[in-house]
Amino acid sequence: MTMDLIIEGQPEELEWLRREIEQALGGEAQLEAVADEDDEEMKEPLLIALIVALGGPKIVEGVKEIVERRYEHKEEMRRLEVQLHEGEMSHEYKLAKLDFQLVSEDGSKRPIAEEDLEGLRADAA
Amino acid sequence: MTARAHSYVDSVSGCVHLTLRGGDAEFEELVRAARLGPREQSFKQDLYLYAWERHRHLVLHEWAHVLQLLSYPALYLRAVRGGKTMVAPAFYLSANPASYPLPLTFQMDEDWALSSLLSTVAVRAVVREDGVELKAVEDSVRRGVLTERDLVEGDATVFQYRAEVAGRGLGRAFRRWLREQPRYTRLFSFLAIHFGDDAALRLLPIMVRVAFRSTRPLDTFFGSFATIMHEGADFFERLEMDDEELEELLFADLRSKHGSVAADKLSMQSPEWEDPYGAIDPETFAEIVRRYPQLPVAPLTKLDLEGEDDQRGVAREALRYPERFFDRRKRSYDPRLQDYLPPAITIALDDPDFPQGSTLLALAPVLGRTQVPGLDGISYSEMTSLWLKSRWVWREILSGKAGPNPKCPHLSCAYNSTGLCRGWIKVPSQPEACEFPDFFAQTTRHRVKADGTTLEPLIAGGKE
Repeated sequence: MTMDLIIEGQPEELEWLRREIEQALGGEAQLEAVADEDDEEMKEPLLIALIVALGGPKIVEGVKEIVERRYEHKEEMRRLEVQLHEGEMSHEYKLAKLDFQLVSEDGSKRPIAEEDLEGLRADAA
Repeated sequence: MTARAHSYVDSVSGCVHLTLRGGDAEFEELVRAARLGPREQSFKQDLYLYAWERHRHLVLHEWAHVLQLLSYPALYLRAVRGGKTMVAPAFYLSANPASYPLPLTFQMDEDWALSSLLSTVAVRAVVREDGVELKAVEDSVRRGVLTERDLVEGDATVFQYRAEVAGRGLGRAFRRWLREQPRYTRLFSFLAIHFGDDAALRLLPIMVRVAFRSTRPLDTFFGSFATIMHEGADFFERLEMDDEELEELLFADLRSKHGSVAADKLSMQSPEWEDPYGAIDPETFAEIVRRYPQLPVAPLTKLDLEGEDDQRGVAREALRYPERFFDRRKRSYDPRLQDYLPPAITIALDDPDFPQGSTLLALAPVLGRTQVPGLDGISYSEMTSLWLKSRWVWREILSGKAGPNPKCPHLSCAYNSTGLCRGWIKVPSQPEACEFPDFFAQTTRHRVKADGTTLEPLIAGGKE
């Protein structure tokens, strides 16, 4: 059984990460994108979390690299926000903090810092 | 951040609500036209076309939900019960004339409240070598956690994909398409891990359809999942069955394990929670529709189940094979779907200059041609208009929001201060012209006292 990394944050950033992880790692990351379902209606998706299976050092490295790269892609995330908000063009996009949690084999969750992703490579080996 | 634009389907009325945004010249022109003459036929036609052409992906996705609602027995039955709870407060007031202090407070029976949450109950599937173990969980941010909503959205997403590309598609291409826009991906991701991309794309909508042909969709979905895991997804691919045959195979498997539920065990008078687990056979579904024809989607369901040869089964076929009904180049749809348009679509533009009350309401033509059984001379169009008003008004009242109606400028009106009219769409230029007090009086047999503190009963004839 592999460990899962849970990433929570703003929908725009999660949407960007979802696409990048899918693009770079495909099915290997066993990515699950969790959408908000807090009301009765069938509506368009708004992501609240991503779940990535840390199945080996390559995936950990890939995820770490993508998370770091998001700072360089602020403009692209602004465009994503426009998609999420159906054409709204008027406001400045600001990067928000991502929260990371590690799900251990026994099912327990513990928060980790972005810097700790580096150390997970050895655990996933 | 301003409120996000959105589209959604009301799971009870089957009404599609679109609130559109756009930075293009066409959008701006529509806003201008709305200010000049929101009642002009040309404005209404342009707005309708704009939604269908510029926001086709939204319309297709929401249309899929309407097709699900009208043809999946579990969703239809849930909508019937949703309708009952929607009108229950008005019925209660009508039957119990008295003075009621405002604001009104209603409390739903525990079993009904629990039943209303079933679509969002999260279940975690732990896949083991010897089978699948299911656990209800509160924390949905875990691998393998799914809700009924994931099933419905995953199915609608595959419909949208196949309608947009006008083809069946392959797993890898679908995965690429999922990356293009924000989309629901969780169900596909879950299945792809276990079945592979191609089989996941093929089996997902089949499994969802079987799930909603039972009284416990999530249990049934995972039952099908366990069967497929046991035999191997390749086994089902090799059977050389089309999607309908495969669906019937899994449905027969469901029926052999859990039996069928008789129509008289599925009453709108009892909460969903009390339904026995089992398959809902086609004859049982037809009986449910005959007993409960009051939904706006009911005439569409009836056509799909019992219509003429060229109409019958079209909604189910469209869900199974969307690519047969949509043309990628012409951006049009098969005329056979004309009778299965959403019963009602509202379209608004999210722009500060879009005037209050300019929202377009488009009712499906089939509603105007069909009489409501048991209500002589009343068409589904008339009933749907009343239904929508009730839905909007009571949803707002039951949401518990307090204070005056923020959309209405007539602060001297007794109704305004109570907020009872928050869900009323049409704001008149003069308070005397407001139609809400009459609507409220007709549906509840009560009116608001002049000082806005109490509901008081009407006596026969509508006078005190």
